[in-house]
Amino acid sequence: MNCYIKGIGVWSPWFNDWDAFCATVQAGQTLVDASEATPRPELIPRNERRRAPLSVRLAVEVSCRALRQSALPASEVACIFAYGQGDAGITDYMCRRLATAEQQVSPTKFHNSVHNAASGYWTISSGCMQAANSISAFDKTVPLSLLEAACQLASEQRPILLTMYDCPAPETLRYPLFIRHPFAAALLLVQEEQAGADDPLLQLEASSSACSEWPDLAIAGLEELYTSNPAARILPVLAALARREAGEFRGAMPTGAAASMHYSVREHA
Amino acid sequence: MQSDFQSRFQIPDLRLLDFELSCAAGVNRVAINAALRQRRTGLAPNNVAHSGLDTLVGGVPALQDFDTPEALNRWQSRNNALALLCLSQPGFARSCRATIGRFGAARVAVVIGSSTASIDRTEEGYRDLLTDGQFKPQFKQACMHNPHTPGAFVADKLGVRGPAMTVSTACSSSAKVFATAARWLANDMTDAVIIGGVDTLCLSVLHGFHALQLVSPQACKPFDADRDGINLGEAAGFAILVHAKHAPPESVRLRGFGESSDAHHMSHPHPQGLGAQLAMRAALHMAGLSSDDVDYVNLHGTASKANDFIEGKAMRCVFGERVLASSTKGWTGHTLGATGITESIIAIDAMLQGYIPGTLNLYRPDMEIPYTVLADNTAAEVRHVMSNSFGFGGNNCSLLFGKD
Repeated sequence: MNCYIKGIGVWSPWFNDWDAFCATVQAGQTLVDASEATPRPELIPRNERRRAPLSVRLAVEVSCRALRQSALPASEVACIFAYGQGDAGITDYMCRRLATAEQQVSPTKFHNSVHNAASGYWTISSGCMQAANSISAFDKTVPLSLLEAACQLASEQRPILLTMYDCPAPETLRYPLFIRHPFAAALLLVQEEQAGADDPLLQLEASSSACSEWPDLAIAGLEELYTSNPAARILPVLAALARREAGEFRGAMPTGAAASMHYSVREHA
Repeated sequence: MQSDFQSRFQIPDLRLLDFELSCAAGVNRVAINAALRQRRTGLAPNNVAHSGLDTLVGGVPALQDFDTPEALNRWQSRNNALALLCLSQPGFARSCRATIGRFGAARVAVVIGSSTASIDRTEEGYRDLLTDGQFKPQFKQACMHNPHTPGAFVADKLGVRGPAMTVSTACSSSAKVFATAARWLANDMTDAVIIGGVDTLCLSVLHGFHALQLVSPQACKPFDADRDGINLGEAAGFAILVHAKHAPPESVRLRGFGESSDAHHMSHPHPQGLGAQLAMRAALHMAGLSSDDVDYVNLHGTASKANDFIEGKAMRCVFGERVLASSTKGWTGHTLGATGITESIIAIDAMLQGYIPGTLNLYRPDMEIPYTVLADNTAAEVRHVMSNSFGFGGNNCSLLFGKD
């Protein structure tokens, strides 16, 4: 399945946008810890943004960047939001309050507790009435979301925004996952007819063979992010896109106990 | 309006090899269909542990047999117990084994819709944390406390080795699994998809919906002038979707689906039901059917003031006044992420039996709602049925099934 990439957004404590990520990868720059910064997506109205949890702000911020780069109207783009853990901060809040005698929870926190909060905020803020999905597959979230996005693009023939995000959890929920740093990335995918000459090609092929190892990342300083944050499993694909060298970059990721997703990244032409 | 939103998907001929349902109205389809005919509700006074909320709930007492360390081991949770109860119904269990035997475990996929996942287990762990804030050992379950628990459990339990994923779009979750499965099959990602929906009663949803003032202290009354909120329920439903060439010719066909977003509000539907209309029209368009071809619509019909009023408006716009439509939540309660597959299976059984369930507790139709909803059960010739599911975040999905 062929997916052309028309827009990319990325955010982590070390790089807050795609250009910064490219600079990191291309020049092998030393990573500067910018962990104090948090995303503030202008798309979400100020009042709503104040109430939006970090997971939502992260996801919407990278989605905005990818959409802007693509120059497509949000109303024409379907979306998939994917996460390995969901918003553990809200889970922790709900469970703590429900363990008290009063059992009172904030109505806003409750409606933000649905795992499709990010896709909800995105479609509401951007005015998008297209199909919106919200999916997870624990540590395999990235390969499953690529599979889902590629099938949706091929079948529905409509641009699709794929946003992957995960945030650190409060103490009690740092098991079984222990996400140390927030990370989000968004890819705006189109079919060949809508692709520009410079839009790189992401080819995906499903296989009924097991894949026991994840691709090497080979970016110094990002190993912990890559292995601890399920959304960050997209990093080798982003790194291949950032290098923009001639040739093809191949890899494979597991989608099931005996199933995998093979990918290759190359320039369009 | 429609042309920009219609799916361009040329849906292949896809069939349901088998399907099964466990909910408050019964532990399997036979029991549920009997309860529907006898108008026997599954709702009962709230007896969820640690919840004193004054309401009725649609609980499944039989799941207790499976909610044990012996039955579930590292997967123990109320949610997984309910999934296992449904997967253990003998006919469906046989169909799953036959499907995996036929295609091989690697060419079978699992896609499950759920909004609560196993939050019931996480809640339980939080009631009894160690002094350092950590879970006690029995709650340190490596596969739990994450949103993919239902998909991972079903794949593990059945021995599926192909792709496994969980969809979590609130109350449309287990409707959207049909759309995902259809696209995976159309693109030859797999040969069979075991789709499903599982959600269970827990404190988060009871007290969360209560915080939104949406929970009724009495039995829910969909589309009634006196309706004052929802009753929560729990359910597990599963189906096996394959290409027509792999299914007997009389198998139920997935004719189409429609997905849309309200783009309006996190917990309140679009005032004109625009998103709901888009979803229903998209499903009709994909099926190549007109609104006249649909014989029954199982409505989302939660019995909240806003949902029923707005869904009625949307129905009027799409169907005029013609199609028979009812809400079965008076039997099951609102089963949240499981509602899509729960009500799809109820609608499909209505089609197969030529017998449509009405709406329990609808005594005084709300005249403000511009659509007449069926109160009494009725026999009818049914060829195509639709099921509506509309969720928080303005997430909508309508499904269309046929027996052709």
